[in-house]
Amino acid sequence: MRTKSVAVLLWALLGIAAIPCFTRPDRSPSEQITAPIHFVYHPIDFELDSCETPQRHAPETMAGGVAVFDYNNDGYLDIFFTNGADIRTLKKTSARYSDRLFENDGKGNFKDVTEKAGLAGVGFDNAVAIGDYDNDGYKDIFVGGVHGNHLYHNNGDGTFTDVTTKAGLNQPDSQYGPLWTVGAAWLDVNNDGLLDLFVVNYLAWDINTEPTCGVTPDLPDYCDPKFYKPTPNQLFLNNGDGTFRDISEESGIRAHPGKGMGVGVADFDLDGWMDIFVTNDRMYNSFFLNLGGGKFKEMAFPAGVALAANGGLISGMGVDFRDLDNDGYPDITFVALDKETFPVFRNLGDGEFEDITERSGIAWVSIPMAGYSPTIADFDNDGWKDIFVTRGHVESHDYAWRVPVAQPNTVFRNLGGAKFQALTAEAGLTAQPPSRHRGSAIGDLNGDGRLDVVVSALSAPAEIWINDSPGGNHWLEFALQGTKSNRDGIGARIKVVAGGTTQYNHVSFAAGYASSSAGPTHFGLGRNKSADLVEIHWPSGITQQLRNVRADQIVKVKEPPR
Amino acid sequence: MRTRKVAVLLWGVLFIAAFPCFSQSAPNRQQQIASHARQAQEYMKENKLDLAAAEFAAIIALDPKNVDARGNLGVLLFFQGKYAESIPHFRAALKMQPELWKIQALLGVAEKRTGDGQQARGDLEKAFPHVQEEKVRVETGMELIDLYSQTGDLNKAAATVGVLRELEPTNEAILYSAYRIYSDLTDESILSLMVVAPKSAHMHELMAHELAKHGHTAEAIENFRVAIKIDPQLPGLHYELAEMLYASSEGREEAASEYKKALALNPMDEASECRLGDIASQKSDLKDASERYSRAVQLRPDDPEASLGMAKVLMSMGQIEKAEQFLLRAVQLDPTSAVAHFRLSALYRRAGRTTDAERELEQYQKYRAMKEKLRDLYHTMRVEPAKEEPDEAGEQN
Repeated sequence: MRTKSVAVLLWALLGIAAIPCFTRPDRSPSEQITAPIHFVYHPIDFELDSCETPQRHAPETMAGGVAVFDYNNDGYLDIFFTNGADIRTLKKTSARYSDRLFENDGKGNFKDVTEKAGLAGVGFDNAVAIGDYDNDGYKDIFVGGVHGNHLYHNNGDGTFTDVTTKAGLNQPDSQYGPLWTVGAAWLDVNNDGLLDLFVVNYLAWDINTEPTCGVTPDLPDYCDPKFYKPTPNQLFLNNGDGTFRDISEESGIRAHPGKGMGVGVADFDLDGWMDIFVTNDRMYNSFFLNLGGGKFKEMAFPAGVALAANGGLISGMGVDFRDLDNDGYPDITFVALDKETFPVFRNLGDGEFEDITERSGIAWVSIPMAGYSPTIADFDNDGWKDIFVTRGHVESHDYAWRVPVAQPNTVFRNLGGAKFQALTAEAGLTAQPPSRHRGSAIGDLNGDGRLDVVVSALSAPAEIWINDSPGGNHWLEFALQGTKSNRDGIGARIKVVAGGTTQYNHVSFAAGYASSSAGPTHFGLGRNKSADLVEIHWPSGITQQLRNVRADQIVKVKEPPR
Repeated sequence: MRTRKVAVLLWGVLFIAAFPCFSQSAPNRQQQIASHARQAQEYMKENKLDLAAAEFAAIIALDPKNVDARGNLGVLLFFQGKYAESIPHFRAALKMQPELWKIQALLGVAEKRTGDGQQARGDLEKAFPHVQEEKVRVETGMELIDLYSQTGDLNKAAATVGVLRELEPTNEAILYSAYRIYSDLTDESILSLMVVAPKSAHMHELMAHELAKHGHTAEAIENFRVAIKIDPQLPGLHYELAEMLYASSEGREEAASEYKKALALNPMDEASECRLGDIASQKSDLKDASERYSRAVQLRPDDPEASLGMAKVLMSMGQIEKAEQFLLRAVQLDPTSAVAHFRLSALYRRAGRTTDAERELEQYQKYRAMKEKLRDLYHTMRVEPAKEEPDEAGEQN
């Protein structure tokens, strides 16, 4: 990652001149951007291939994890896509199913370095989770898939090594058999300075016993999750020697099987332990309260996050878990299908959440929407975190007569606190045809201080949405380096005070659906040219303060000894 | 013919204990009659129906005006399948004692089974309102329904099956009959409307319903629009279009406009008022939602949806005690409302009433599971491939 001095100098010198290589639209004066958040499309040579067959096997509609991270520490955020496989064999029998790693040269070029990196993959892959599990300063990759997961160790020389077997992450479940992983998160559950791995498993799927679904027998479609049995999530404790220990049972996680789709991690009660929220597809959500010592208690109902306000079982998809209203307590938002709305749970700070979906204004506008991947971040740098949602229906194109299958993406702009405004065409997001969008990851790809978004889409080109929001608001990013805490600083809470306003975020790379956003932690500062105070609460318990931090830079912060 | 089972039913119909008033006859005749009666009872106990019938016949030979013997002989013959032979005995008994409603019903059935539908219908219609014994009443009603259906008297069949459903709500034969009658009535109504008013607003309204039933929402909406164009004042049309738009998820803004039109035509339209409350709530307009739900509750205090909506708004406004009252009211009106139990659970949890919260959560889970099971069953019975449908409470309301 860029150091403070290099990064600031580089971008200060290059400024606007560094950006033109990224797509810049030709706009007539009448087409000037009027929305506070705006994106412009930038292509990338990747098309998600999930081997869609006329039989409509469930995994075909669930592919599409995306990661944004700096794989070679050159200061530019790179892009990784998971990809499908032959649905019958679950093998990547063709190059079209290859997972892909694209190296960002910072000038708008994304070079495919998959082969050199050794990341083409072998199976039907879904999820990606980025994290430096061995604290060597290079971010590693966990890839979760249908009946097979892989851990790729970053060798630091542009190559990766599949260490799954050595790490002990390829054992089939003794009770449930092979599992289907759709999400994962790295977090330090016991604050020992080592990243542990939480794996979200969807449902029990077997191509040989899968039911046939659809409105008519001659028009098969993907089945409702109720036709499949739930499976448990998994928690692997990092032993610190490159191996992991499955503590799913003893931690209390395994006792709550579900049909997991998304995972968000945050210390919801600020007790120093990271908690885990998992959306389930047409089942109660799971909320695992971290009791410390590697023990968890499932608390979804008592915490008020098991279901949306009306008590219906909805199709919980991707999730993000961050502070939306700047009160210091992480809130939850996840997305679902049309008529189910995109729920927003406000953390009340007393151990419970409150469903504010209607009050936030999101209920009404999201009724016709089907979402997959929500990511909470400040896209217009105004100091309030917004929500970018990839959209697209779970159903196949054959059902376009019944529901809008292909949809544009939408960004929900935070109007200050808990009110949101949906921007789709206004934000430039209809510049590309609607699609069945799936995973998404964010990061400042062109170093202009505005967060960009990378989105995958089923059987359609992936999309890079370069943020060209107007306003010229200032920003700050923090690239943390833990010493006593895990090196990525995952779990660290950051408080920024600027111009009399205070905002909070925490380091977590798990966001959206099956995806990972592993760039520096971003803050919008509005008109403030500096932050008066930056306070970092490391997972180790150490608190660090920075004062009068100049805006518009990536600040690299190393955890102090105490 | 049925044997033991028949005999059991027989005892229910026969007048075994009913020989109190012998005809005015000489003492030795009376003794003979009493002897035959005792013998008949013995044979009945031994299930020797032919021999019992012979004993009753002997009584009738001695005393042709013996109502009980006539009735009992008729019943025995009836349950032996000798319908034609039973009829004269039933008629004779009824002539002497017209209020023998069970005999009247059996006469009707016997006539039906011997092909005399007209007589059967008359006798069954006479008996049906008066028969007290549930089993016989149901049988009488079902025979009548069969006759009505044969002659296309669907309205009478529907009225009769309505009575039977009240009597035995879980009787599967009755439920099936009801389904058949209502289906036939539907088909007949469609055909009739097509003949008398093929281009009417009602015809398009009807087509819209049929299309919606088969999942063709867009076409259904189009037909509602045509119907409104033909007759904008037709009661209920705007509400129905609004419902269709509301369910389609993309047309909720237009749905709101249609609900308002429905209300303009009929200010007492509580359902539209309630839906407008839902929409206002979804739009986070608590003031409008509160007014709409309040009015809905005033218009129809017995509508659980209105109380539920009112409670939701009150909870958002922080008026927990008032919200609780409305939720309790909603549960009272519809104890199976999973949503009401869920919201009560949330309310109690926030109030620190853990035990109450847990109880309501259990109720929620019970009723949600029950409704889920019913929905699955319904889909299975529709012999359709599996397809996802929104959960009962899955939609935001």
